[in-house]
Amino acid sequence: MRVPATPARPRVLAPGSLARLARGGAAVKLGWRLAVLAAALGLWQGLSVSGVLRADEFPSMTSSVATLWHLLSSSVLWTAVGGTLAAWAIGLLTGGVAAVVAGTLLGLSSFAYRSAIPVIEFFKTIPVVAILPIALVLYGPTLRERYVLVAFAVFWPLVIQVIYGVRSIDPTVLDTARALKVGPVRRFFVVVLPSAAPFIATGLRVAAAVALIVDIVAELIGGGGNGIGVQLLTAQNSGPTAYPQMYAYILVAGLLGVLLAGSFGLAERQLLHWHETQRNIRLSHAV
Amino acid sequence: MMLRATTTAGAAALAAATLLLAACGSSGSSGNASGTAKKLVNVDVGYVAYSDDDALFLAIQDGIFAKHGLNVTLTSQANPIDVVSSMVSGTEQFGFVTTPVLANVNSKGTPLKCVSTVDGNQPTQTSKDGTMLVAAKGSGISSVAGLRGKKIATVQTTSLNSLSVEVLAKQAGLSPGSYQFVQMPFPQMPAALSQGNVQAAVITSPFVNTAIAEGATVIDHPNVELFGGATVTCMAALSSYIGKNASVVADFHAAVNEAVAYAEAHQSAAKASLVKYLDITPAVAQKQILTTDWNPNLNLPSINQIESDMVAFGVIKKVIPASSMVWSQAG
Repeated sequence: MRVPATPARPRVLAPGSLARLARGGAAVKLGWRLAVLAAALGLWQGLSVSGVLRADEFPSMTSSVATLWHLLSSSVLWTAVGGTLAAWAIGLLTGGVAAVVAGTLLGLSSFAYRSAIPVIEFFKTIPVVAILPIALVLYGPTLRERYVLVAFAVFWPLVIQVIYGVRSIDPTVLDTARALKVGPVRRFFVVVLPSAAPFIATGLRVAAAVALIVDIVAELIGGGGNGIGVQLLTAQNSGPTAYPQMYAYILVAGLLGVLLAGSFGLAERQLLHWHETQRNIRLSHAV
Repeated sequence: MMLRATTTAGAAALAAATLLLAACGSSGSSGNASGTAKKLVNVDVGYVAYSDDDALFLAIQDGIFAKHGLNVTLTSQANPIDVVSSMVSGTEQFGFVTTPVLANVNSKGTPLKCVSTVDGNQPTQTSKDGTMLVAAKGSGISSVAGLRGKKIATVQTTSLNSLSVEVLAKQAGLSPGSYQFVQMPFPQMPAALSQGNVQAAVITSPFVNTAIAEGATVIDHPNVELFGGATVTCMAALSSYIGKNASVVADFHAAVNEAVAYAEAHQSAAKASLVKYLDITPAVAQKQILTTDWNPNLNLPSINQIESDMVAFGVIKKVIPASSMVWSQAG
């Protein structure tokens, strides 16, 4: 389906032309994104140059980006990224697997669901920072402490997502599978998991970002290791001369978040291309 | 001096967790005292990054710990209560604490003892002290008495920094309710002062330089005035660890004491050691104020005095004798 072409009227923006621009091709979209990014960076630099942001209180964009550029060629940065990603990956994997298993079991039984949901909702609202001191006492400032906290933070929201995913399965499909004597394990992999997959995928995409935040906060508060949070803490304690370094690491954390969320979004589109939710998204984009 | 302390709630949570661990039968102490004479004993040490860790850094860099049979691994943490938590977990054997934290965790039932100073005690001269009570430009505050009705930035409301202002304010005739503390990290204080969000701050080097450059004036050096010569920070270990590893503790104590004397004799090298651990430039490192009198002997009466002040302002309920919070051979 295509929108009827309108006569080209250069230099004049006809009503709705902005909307058409926004719907433009991949290159146009990328252009707009880069323009917004450039505007944000320009605003930051402008505030620094005009003196609204003092250099000893907030570093300029150019000094932060220059420090980041310098860090890109140092092993310290990549060790920090590796250290942070290790706790992120182990925590997300363990929390994610536990959530899928527990969520499926709870989702398949209304009785279990009704019994457990108040407890799950309760744990979901506990801020991870509140249990960080206990994790620190149990495990010390170690990789284990960080991935346990990440797994805890990821588990509760994801388990709810999985439960809703499993409960949304068409009962006829499940009954048919049972009638055809499909065993419980095969039923899980062939019927339950694919049907709940869009819910799980959305939950995982959100969990990936949450996991990164929790990981960095755990490093920043609990210390230990050599991840991005610890580098941030060191720069923060070093005083105003290290502020460009501090904001360079904040930029790294932000970029890492965008990359991880982006790759989960991409994987979601690729792996679930067959699902009606993804087909609907593609159709709406094609208009 | 960058002094950070804990909240009472934090100490209570720590005490509860300590009991939990004890109930689980998991007494953590991974230090190995039974190693052969030639083999170095591995110890993990938690610290809060600031310039007065210079003796520790120098002791690692120049082999003083190794000379005493120790292989020290340092872990940077955000505040002393996290350091104590890590010692309770068993992943760290020694760690940096402030005296208010030492008193607070002991009063909540976690037996912790000072083993050595960090790089000596609190100096008695203002020129050697990096912690200052400053007033914002245009605040009209020229003395402690002028704090009436004002907001004062402090790093923690139960830290030595807050306690010293409370004591000074009381001496100046101000009641505790007549001024207000606002808790914030040191790096945010200069902006808070110049924007008028607070009218005064207890702020430490290097951040105090920014505040002064923006027009803040120094009213007092509270820690020098009240706690000159006092043990305001120390390297501590849990009693349970000390009981099982007496020789390691003795080695650690001897190493730090030697390092303090060595750092005093080589102050430029001591400051240079900050470059690696605090990630600052050599020029900035040389400008740091090392807040110390280089005296390695723990000052027990001063610990009792700080506790008395904490009791007076309701931070802890009673004074625990300092002798029970200091390793027997260090006092």
